[in-house]
Amino acid sequence: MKKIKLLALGAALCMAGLTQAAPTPKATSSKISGQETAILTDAPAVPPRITRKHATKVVVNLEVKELEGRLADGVSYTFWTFGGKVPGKFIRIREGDEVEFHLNNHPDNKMPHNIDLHAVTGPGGGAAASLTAPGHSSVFSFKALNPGLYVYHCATAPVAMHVANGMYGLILVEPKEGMSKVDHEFYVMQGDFYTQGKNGEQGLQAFSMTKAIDEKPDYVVFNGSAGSLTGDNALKAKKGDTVRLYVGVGGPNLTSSFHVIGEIFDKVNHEGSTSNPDKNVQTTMIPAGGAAYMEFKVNVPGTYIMVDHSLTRAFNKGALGMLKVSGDEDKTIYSGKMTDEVYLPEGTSMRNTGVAQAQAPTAKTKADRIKMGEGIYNTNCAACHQTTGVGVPQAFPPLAKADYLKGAKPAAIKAVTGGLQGKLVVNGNEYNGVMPSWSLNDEEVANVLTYIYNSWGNDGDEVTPEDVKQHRITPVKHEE
Amino acid sequence: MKSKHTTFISILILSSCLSPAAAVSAEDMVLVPEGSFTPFFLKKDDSANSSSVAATAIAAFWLDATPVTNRKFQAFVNQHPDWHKSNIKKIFTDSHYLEHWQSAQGSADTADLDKPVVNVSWFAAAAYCEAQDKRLPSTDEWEYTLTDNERDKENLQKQIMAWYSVPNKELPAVRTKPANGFGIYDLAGLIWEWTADFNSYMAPPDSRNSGDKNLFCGSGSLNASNLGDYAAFMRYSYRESLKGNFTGKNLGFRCAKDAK
Repeated sequence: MKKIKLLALGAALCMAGLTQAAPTPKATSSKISGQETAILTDAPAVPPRITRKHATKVVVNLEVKELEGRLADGVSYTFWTFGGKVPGKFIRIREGDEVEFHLNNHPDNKMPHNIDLHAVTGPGGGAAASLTAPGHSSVFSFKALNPGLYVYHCATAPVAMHVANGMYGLILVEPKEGMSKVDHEFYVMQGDFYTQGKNGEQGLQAFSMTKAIDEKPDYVVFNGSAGSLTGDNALKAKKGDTVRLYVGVGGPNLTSSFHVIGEIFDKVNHEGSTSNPDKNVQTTMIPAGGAAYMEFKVNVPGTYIMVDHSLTRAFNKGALGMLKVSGDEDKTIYSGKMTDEVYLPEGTSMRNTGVAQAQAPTAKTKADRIKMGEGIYNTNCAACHQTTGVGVPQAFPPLAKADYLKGAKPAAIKAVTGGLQGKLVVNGNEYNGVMPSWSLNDEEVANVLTYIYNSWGNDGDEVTPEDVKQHRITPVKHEE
Repeated sequence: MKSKHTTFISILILSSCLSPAAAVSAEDMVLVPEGSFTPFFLKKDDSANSSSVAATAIAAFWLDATPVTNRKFQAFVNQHPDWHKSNIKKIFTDSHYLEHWQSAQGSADTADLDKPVVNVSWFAAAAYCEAQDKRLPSTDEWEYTLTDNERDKENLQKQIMAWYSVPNKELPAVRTKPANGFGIYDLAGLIWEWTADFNSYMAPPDSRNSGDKNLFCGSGSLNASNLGDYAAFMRYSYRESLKGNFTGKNLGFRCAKDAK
């Protein structure tokens, strides 16, 4: 009983390529002419479009290398690779092509390896024919019967570990009619990594079998490392370009909710299928051991973030890439930030402090004023300007020793009573924020400003209710 | 004939082995006691009632305490020039036979004498053992010895995994790490080792004829007794990738002998 279940599992995993690949007579009848050696590329590059109109014999030479590389800043890992990088080399052929596949296992390697190409129709997708000891090479051939974008991976036991170490890549079988021309094609592949140390733990990290079996990766990354597609490594395009992404998921375990923040995929070919694409898709699901390709026109310059929208993977584990689009702004499609105003919920047009209009005691002396002003300050102002008056760098300007206040009582009164918005330079630093207007009476404004002027090294001026009356911006009183 | 005989004796004396019985000396070989272990894979024909994996009994046997070194293999090649790298028959090896012996005479580098010999085919390894009146250990014997009666199992697995997953930079000498509970050195963490029946568990190279028994994709897990033992998966798939004439930079051997 147990055995039958296991057998079914094995068959299902192994024959994935087979079940969807009933040989089609029209494909097998295509005549082979000529021979060429496949151009293979490292991610994010993609080999050039195929322009020939006939099937040919394509020789693919792929070398397996086990090597130490960067997984994240300060973190390295021993990757097992198809061609020296993760993901493996991108292979591009045409429907009907006959592929002579050479799998070369570098003599320095310790492990035997093989390759299961999901584009292959036959048991194991080539895996059985390509098991190769270190220092040897295997050759097998297959005919590309079905067009589509397919994953290939190492299938040597323990298969999950070979894949977890980076042994996967994409093979594109172009349909006979070819792929349409676009301005940019990019190759992106997601994988999950399981390390002995926690995410960010420095140094060479060994594979953790326990975490792999529990499916709890420390890293989920695009193209083999955190940061492989950010900053200087970002993908680049110009405004108006069409971009096609070939996106695969190597796994071994996690699927991807692939999304580009700020873009809508004009077309998505789900599951790497070359049949009619879906249009206007936000997020597309890519299974482990699966792929999809998507096209979109970049209309607005800026940086577009690619993520696995299972967001802690993007935020905490590395599944984040960038597409930088250069060119002039087009404000009719996207305006950028036009304004940033304080949101006033219905029923208020200004900040009504609870103490307003109450039977507030009036200050008799400057000392009274300062004392009463402190309470008003702590209630209304300290949240932003801080109890110490230093503000918050880049967000809220300081009041302590502020040049803005020095000898400028009218401006200060206007700021408190009318609010402030937009660019403001205080003590040489630029701020671009918003301060609401405060619904405080003349006495209260006088008290709080006097407190401010007599604190934190400011000049010690006194602001009187008369000053406030003279300079205040008449508030738009909201009538309840 | 006479001169050959004399050389043979002198070699025996040089290696301080005074008689065939003493050749199995405590220093070079260790008597591994009888016992049993659970094989990682079921053998070809006993899967009919595979719901429980039977333990396999192992008779006591002698096993080399360390892998065969370049020094010892050099002595063998000197004694049996047929196995010199310039004489070896093509069908017995691939083109990398003893390629790390780079001197003009095709002999081992002095610095490497105490390192395990690698780049030797199964045929060469078997011939070496035969010349010592020994044999290659069976896979079961080798695996049984590695299990070390399940002593410190977790640590052992970790240690094995750590070595398996990283390419070797340079081979160290034999016997630089502690022996296991049986008194055997370097089973894991130094090199891969040939066994007499290295591919007996495995399917034919093309799975079309093998039904469900191979190590690819998910079906690798079909006949395994411990799905969590990734290290064993690696060892068995490594053996499966070999043919008798293959050599490898990390592949050597040690010899065994029946305990009678």
